[in-house]
Amino acid sequence: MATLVETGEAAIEDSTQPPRFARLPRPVILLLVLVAILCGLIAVFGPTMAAQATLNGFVAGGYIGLGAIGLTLVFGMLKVVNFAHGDLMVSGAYLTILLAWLGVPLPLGMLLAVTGTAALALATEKLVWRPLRRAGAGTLQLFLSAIGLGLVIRSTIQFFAGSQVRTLGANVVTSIAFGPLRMGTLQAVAFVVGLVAMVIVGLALRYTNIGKEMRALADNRALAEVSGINTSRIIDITWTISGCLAGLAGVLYATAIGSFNPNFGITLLLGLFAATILGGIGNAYGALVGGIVIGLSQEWSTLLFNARWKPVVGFTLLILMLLFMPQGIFGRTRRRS
Amino acid sequence: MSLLCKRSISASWSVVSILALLMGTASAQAQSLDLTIGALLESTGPLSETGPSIEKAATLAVQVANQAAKDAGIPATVTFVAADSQGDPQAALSAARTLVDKNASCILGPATTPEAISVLNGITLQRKITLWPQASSTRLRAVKDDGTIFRTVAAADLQSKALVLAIENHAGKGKNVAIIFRNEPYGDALSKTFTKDWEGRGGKVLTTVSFDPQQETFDSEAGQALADNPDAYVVIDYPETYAKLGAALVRTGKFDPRKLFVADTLSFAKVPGTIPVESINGAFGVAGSSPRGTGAYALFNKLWDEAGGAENGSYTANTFDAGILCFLSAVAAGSTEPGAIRDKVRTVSQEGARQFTIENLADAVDAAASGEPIDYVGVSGSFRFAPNGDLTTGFYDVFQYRDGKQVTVEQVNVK
Amino acid sequence: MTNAVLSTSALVAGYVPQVDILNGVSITVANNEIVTVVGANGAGKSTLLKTIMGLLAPKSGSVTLGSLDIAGLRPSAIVGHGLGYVPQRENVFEALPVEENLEIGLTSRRDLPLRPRMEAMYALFPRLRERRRQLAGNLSGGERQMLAMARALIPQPTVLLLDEPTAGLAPQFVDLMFEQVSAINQSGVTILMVEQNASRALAMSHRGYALDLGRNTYEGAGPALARDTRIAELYLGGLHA
Repeated sequence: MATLVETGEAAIEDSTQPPRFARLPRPVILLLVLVAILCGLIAVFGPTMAAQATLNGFVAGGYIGLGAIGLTLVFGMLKVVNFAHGDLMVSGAYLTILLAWLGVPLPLGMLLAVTGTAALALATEKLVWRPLRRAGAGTLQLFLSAIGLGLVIRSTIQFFAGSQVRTLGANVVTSIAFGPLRMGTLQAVAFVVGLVAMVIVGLALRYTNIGKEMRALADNRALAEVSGINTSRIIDITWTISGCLAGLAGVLYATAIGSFNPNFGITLLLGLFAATILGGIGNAYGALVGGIVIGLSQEWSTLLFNARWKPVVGFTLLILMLLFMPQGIFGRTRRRS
Repeated sequence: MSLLCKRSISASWSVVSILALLMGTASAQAQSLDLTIGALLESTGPLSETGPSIEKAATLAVQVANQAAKDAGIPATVTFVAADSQGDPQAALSAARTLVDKNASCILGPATTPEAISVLNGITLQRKITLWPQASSTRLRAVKDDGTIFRTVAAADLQSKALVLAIENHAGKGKNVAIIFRNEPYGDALSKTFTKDWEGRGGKVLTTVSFDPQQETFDSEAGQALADNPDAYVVIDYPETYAKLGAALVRTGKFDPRKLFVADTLSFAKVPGTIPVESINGAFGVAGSSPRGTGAYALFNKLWDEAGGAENGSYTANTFDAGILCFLSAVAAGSTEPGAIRDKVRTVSQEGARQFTIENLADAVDAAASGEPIDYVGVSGSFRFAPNGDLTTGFYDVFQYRDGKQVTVEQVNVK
Repeated sequence: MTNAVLSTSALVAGYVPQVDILNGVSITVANNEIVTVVGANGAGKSTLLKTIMGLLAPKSGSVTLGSLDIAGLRPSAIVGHGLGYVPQRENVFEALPVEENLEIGLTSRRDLPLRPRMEAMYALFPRLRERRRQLAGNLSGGERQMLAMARALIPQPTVLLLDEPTAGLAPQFVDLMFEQVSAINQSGVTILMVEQNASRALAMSHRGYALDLGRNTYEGAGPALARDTRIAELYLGGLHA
């Protein structure tokens, strides 16, 4: 049945748009809050400590954000809560190790590892997700399948590579100095690459045909299909991109952090989901901003509390965010109906 | 019908004959002692660096024990079973259950306090199986263990004193110290004890930073610890996380590895490839060790080298001694029943009794089998077990990492 | 009918095994006709359109577009063969602005120039030009329906399927909508429509079919069917009672 009876323009406008004064954009509100906190920290702890914590927050948030972009895409497009995303990242890292072991030079190995991870993600679509959708699996089934799939990937890696700590052997001890402030060189590289990846994904979603088709599919899959979009193809592309981003995040993480074991994906995952939700589901910029908000709040918190409470701060923030801004920073107000 | 009857009759006959055979075997070996020693190894997980050397130490103990029984001419054999505790309490418990299924009468390890508590409460306490952890947290004293926990490694309060001595010797008395520890019982307890000991000797603790091991980056933690330019930093951490923390310390630009003092969990013969050398070369540390220059120590090292395989690491001699103590206790008890072994541990490490080492272990076996109290002096020293199962003294190496290798600088004996 | 552009023959379809909603529907739409399918709730009108569109796989029977059997093709491929479809509900991309809705509509015909096609749609639905930068989710009910039609029309389909185009619209929009359907038809697009507002729809149609329990029962010229007392009793009266 039709849900809406036409009652005139004004009434419709009112029901969708709150009064202007309350519509200060959420990103602006967030920025104001962050700046206010930073000013407070500078006042109490001095500019150097506050700035260093801020820098650290950007670095930590960058890792989370980069990992979250691929997650948020799949989440937004396909409504799959991909618990295997962290393990796709791990695949990227371990493929690099495998290729290095086979004698492939590191930069080429990283590139191939990213490609390999994308192929793995595409394979999960073909072998798991598509058959599940055909069978009419619900959200809970998809969610549990994702957990299982992650476990399979992780265990496979453990079976072949063992669970001991590994390293790609990159130099992780050099740092760049900005006056009294320090930032790890590789961390800076990872951050910049994350930023570039986010901008590319964001622009591609905005301006390219495939990007538009992806957004259309995210909005209404059935309508996308009858509008002439081959939705299976777009879903394949979405998984490939998500896999690429997971692989890239995994490789960069493994390189810049220096050491890792097959469990790093699952330990990162909670942060990735937090960033995804904070940023607004399906929004590439949101993922990075969400990551940085978590990173900043965690690192800032170390000035106030003992560092062991860092994770708690991140998730307290997430809960507060869900209470006060359930759509996330960049999320759209959900449709009525 | 008749066929069925016939079959069941022949089946009963075979059951009887098997039973007879079993009883025959049992009576023929009535005097024999078939002891199984289990070991919980950190083969994987955050302490996986220690797995191979601890396994080798336990295997050596079993070999030496078997040889001694043979030399003494008593019908005793020792079998070794091992399982991976993964640094995880749940995994450790299920690994311990496997060992018990394989008839382990005592269990060497596990390496951490949470694992030890899980294993104790889950299975060994109820079965009176002696547990010989390498964990050094004082928290293990507070648990109800019915006398089943014996530690051949000194507890953290002794390690704290060793750290104090190491810092006084290499950084100076009364200096400013920063502590960074991995947030878990071992680090928490050791940092508290150390703070008390260090301040008691006139030193000052500038900052204590504890960190969550699940984090990706530790730059803020590192920055905080080094913010006030301390004269020395105490790091209580595992290799897995120090790979990240160490890198973060170096990245601060204020880090001087010669001011770094690490606790025993960061003691390894060779620095693992995952830890950046810049973060550890030149650093000092303490680890439980053995008095040098004894015949037992020389023999142990000789056996170790002859066996090949893993390089010597921390607490190998202590684990080896734990295996020997378990074996001697079983000989003294004339039983492989876990409770009987537990009750004899103090009889084979009795102060004032005749002393034996691994050099004359066959004689020790003879004496113990005849019911005489003995004093087994281990590779890692004498064992004076307090009523809580902890050692009252401990030998520590103060070492330094030079060119990626551990070099012992001096030894300290703390009480 | 020699100049049929769209026809179904003995079409059987349903959402679950064992239960068929369509029990052998055979209809024919000739070039440049407006054909309306009427029937009581649950007669299978919307299901017929969905099956033609490929959203539902036919269990048996055929769907012919031009000279091509399109049964079993995926909807996006069918769109590429010149069939347009306006669903009854959720027929616009709410998260996308009006302009992008139209761009998406052109996916199957990237060979057509975007700007002139968009201008053609704005000429047909001037309200959309005013709203082109707004999110489709913020449009009024009538504007949504216009956008949904424009989205389906922009790739120049030969046949347009309309599922209840006036459902839930305010009276002034209902008139407008029927006028626009006529205008679209006069521009050369064949229309197959399902409509609850049956008497008005039939009155403006060239021909009509009545559907009952998944079968087509009556067939005839639109205005004649609208006046047919049997039809009125069966389907029309109930709706306006």
